[in-house]
Amino acid sequence: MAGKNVYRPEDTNELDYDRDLGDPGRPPFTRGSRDYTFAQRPWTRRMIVGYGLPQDSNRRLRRLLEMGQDGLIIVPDTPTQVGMDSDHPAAQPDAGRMGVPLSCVEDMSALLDGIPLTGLSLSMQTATSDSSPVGFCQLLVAAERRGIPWTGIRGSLSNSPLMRYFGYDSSLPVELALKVCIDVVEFCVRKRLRFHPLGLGGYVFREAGLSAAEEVAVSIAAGLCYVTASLDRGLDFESFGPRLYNSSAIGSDLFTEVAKLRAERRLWSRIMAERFGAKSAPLTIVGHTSGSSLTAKQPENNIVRAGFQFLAAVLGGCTAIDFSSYDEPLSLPTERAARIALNTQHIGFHETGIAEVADPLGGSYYLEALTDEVEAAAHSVLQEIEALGGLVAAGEQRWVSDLIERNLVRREGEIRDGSRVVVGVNRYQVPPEEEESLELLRLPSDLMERRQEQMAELRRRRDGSAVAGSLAALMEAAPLDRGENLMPFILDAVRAAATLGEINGVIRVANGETYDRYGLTEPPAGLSMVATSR
Amino acid sequence: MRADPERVVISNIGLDTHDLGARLVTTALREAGMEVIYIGKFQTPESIVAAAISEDADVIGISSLAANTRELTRRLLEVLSRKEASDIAVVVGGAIAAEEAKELLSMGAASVFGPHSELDDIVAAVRTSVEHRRSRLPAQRPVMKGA
Repeated sequence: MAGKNVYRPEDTNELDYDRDLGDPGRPPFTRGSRDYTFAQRPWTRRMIVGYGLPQDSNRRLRRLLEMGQDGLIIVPDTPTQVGMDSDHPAAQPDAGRMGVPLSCVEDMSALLDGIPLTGLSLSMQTATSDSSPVGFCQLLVAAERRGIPWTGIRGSLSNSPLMRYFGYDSSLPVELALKVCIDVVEFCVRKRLRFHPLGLGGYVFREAGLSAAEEVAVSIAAGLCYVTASLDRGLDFESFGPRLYNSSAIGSDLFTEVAKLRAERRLWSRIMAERFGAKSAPLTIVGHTSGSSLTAKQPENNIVRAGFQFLAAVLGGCTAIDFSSYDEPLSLPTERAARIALNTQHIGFHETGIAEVADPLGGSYYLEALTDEVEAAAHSVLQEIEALGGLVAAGEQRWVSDLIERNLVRREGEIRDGSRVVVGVNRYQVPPEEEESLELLRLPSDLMERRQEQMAELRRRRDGSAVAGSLAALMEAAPLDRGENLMPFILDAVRAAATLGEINGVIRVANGETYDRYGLTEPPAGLSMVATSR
Repeated sequence: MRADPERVVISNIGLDTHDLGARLVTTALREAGMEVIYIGKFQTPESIVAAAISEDADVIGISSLAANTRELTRRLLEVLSRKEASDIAVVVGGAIAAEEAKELLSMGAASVFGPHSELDDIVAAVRTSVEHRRSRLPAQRPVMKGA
């Protein structure tokens, strides 16, 4: 950001309190999406979990609750994120490696076994819309089996089909992915569920290689796409708009990050009011400290990096915060790394006083000028995206990938020529023999075999005719031109123990695609794969 | 006369979405004058070998941060041998612990690079692999850096 050594009143001359700031919890929500302080109600302190078998991740969730975590955040493994089952031949080596496998409702039940589902928020970072509707249905059915009413649980889903342009894969054509994404939104509204039905995807956009202002612009561009599609579905803005949220990557440039969070809420609120007549559009933003800012060299330095990033997230008003742990450049978090991350939050909350006052930096000449600057930069990038026809068009035309590539090349050039200092990497290095050797998370060496046994057992035990029946009903409903909300059909299929891969395959077939993109798996026996309506 | 540039196929293997490392290595090899065919993410052993054969690659570079390179490298080497293309050297990068690196080398990977690696070392290892392949010498002594 443009540098002055000191900021003065004239740098904020134009600022009008009611128009540009407003009290916390009041439009334009610059000062926060909620009208209370963190001391009154803490941000949700949590650590992302997902590795091994569902039973392994379950043990970690229990440990984190013992360590004072007050929300759950779960990341499914990469096969699950793209709608593939753990026993798909091309997915087996990836099952349980970078997340928890959730191929069927039994996995969800095992993951959440013994964990109270009421009284805490449950966030499912299911990436695109390949797995979000199915994962959500697994969660609802798992609750149902435990006798917990759906309205008794609350949380959030990522459900962000446009992540496909930012490094995530999707097996569904974009139009179909958007449709099932909005099915989830509509279902949550109609059933009055206490879920944030989709996240704009800021963390993924940013970490793919965007600047803070670009993260804001792209998040809002994604949001415009989802809002328009929800309105087209016949939903009122007030019924779903305030339930949308963004997850934000919090980098190390502390004041820029705080300004970014404030600018994003303000720009969102303004655009929603201007374009859709929204009376009140508070954007909930959750923060995740930046994984890409961490270094494999002298990894304990990452504890400090995440600490500064956490501070920015709190000062910027993130309502839930989770960390990239210090060992993340080397492996998934160990229990020790997770504890240090959670304790950073506990120390911040209890010992430093940062929770006492909402938007404590509001009114600072510098921060207000910076907030304006980030908002203006984001607005200009947003206009560029809209001139291309919106984020889908920008993604399809490679505008996104070109931007990411340019940023990456610039950043790496700066690290190489030393104009960007990364401690321990291009300055203050230690000889290789002095690099700490960390204890890393070890996945069981027989993980792949054990997961395959679990899948075989599931397929053996279930009632094949119930699976085929539920999938046949889904297939009939699934063609895009039928306009049917697929959630009730997916719920029935999940109850019958149909798998994620089967459900996605059937939705694909009903829309003229092959059952399996890789051509390696067959639909379950007893299911005719002729698309029924065209 | 100048030799033809080294030809390298680079990809993320498996379903891991973290491709920063593979892209950085691609850039570094290109800057060093090599012809790099970057085939991106979500590649299977079969699709990588098919690309390497059709591109007449000297070296295949694969990356995964998903702690699954043991199984994926095993599968890749198997496909190479099935396609009678085992002369193509395989360089593996990613979140690879030291003992796993040893296993990969004994399986037949030409070199292995963990998270501490330097780009210059990767460029040098790829160059050595190409020289060995082109001079039809037996495979070079395995190198293991930064694991």
